[in-house]
Amino acid sequence: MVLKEEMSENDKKFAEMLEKYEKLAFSVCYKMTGNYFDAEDMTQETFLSVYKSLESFDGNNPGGFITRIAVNKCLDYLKRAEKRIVPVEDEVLVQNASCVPPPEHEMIQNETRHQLLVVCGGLKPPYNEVATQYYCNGKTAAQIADSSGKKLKTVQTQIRRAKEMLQKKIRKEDLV
Amino acid sequence: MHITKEQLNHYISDRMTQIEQLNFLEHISKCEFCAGKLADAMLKKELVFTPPDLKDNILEQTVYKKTTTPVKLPQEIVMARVRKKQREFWMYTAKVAFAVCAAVTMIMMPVGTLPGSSDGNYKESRLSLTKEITEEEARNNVKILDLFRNTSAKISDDVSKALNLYKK
Repeated sequence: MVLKEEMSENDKKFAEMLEKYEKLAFSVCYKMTGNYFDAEDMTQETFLSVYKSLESFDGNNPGGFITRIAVNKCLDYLKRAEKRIVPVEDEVLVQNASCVPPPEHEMIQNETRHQLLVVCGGLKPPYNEVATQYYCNGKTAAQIADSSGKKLKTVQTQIRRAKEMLQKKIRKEDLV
Repeated sequence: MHITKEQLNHYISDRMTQIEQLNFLEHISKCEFCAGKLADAMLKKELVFTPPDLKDNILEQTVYKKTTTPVKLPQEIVMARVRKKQREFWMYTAKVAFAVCAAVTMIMMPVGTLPGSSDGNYKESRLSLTKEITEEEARNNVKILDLFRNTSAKISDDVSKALNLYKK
C-alpha cells in the first residue's frame, strides 16, 4: 500500500476526487446503463480516463469534468451494446412517461437492493453467498475472507466470477 | 445551445423519450458546463450505493500501480540468473550445431543407406544407380543410420527442452 504522504500532488488530487465523486459517477452510469454491474465497469473506466487526463484538467468544475467523461463512456458502451437507447415510437414513450410518476429515490435504492438480492441468490454456490455478502450486504472482499476463513485472493476471484455470471444473466433478462 | 432546466428535470425524473434522452446525453458528452449542471442535479438526490471495493480497485489500477516499485533482487542472484541463461543459451546453440552436422552427414551418406533403403525393391532400384555394395556393408550402414535416427530424435527432445527452459 502507498501511504498518502508518498503520493504525488496529482495522485492526491485524484484520490480526493475519487472519494468525493465516486457515487456521482456510479449513479450517472447506473442511470444510463440500467445495470448495476455494467455501471461498476463504466465507473472504473471513467476514473481511469480521469486519471490519465488529470494533468490537462484546470481544476474548475470537477463534477462536470467527471460527469462528462462518465456520459461519454456510457454512450460508447451503449452504442457498442446497441441496448437501451434505441429509437422507438416517441408517442408511446411520451404517454408512458407522463402517466408513470417518478419513483422516490429511497424506493430506487430499496428496489435496487431487492433486485440485487434476487439475482445474487440465484447463482450457484459458492458464488451466491459471496455475491450476496459483497453486493447486498456491502462487505468488502477482505471482510468476507476474514469471516469465512477463505483466502483473500479466492474471495476476490469468486466475486469477479460472480459478477461475470450476473452480467450475463442480467443482460439476458434485463432485470436490474 | 445549452440544456434547459426543464430538460434537466425531465431527465432526472425519467420523463424523456429515448430520442430526447439520446440528444440530451450527446450534448452533455461534449459540454462540460451542462455536465456540471447534471452533476449538481444528481448530487442533490440520493446517490446509488456503490460496490464496497470499487474505490480500492480503481486506486490499485491508478495510484498504487504507478507508485509500486518491484522488489530489487541482490546483485549475486541477478548475476547467477544471467549466467544460467547464458549457459542454457550456449548449450542450446551447441545442440543445434550438432543436429545440423548430423543432418549434413546423413545427406552425404551413400544412397543405399537412406531411410527406407532396407526395403528390398527400393534398395534394388537405388543400387542400380550407384556403385554396388556388399550385403554386410549395407547392414552396417543401416545400423549407423538407426544410430543417427535415435541420436537425432534425442537431440530434438533436448533442443525442445532447452528451448522451453530458455523461454522461461
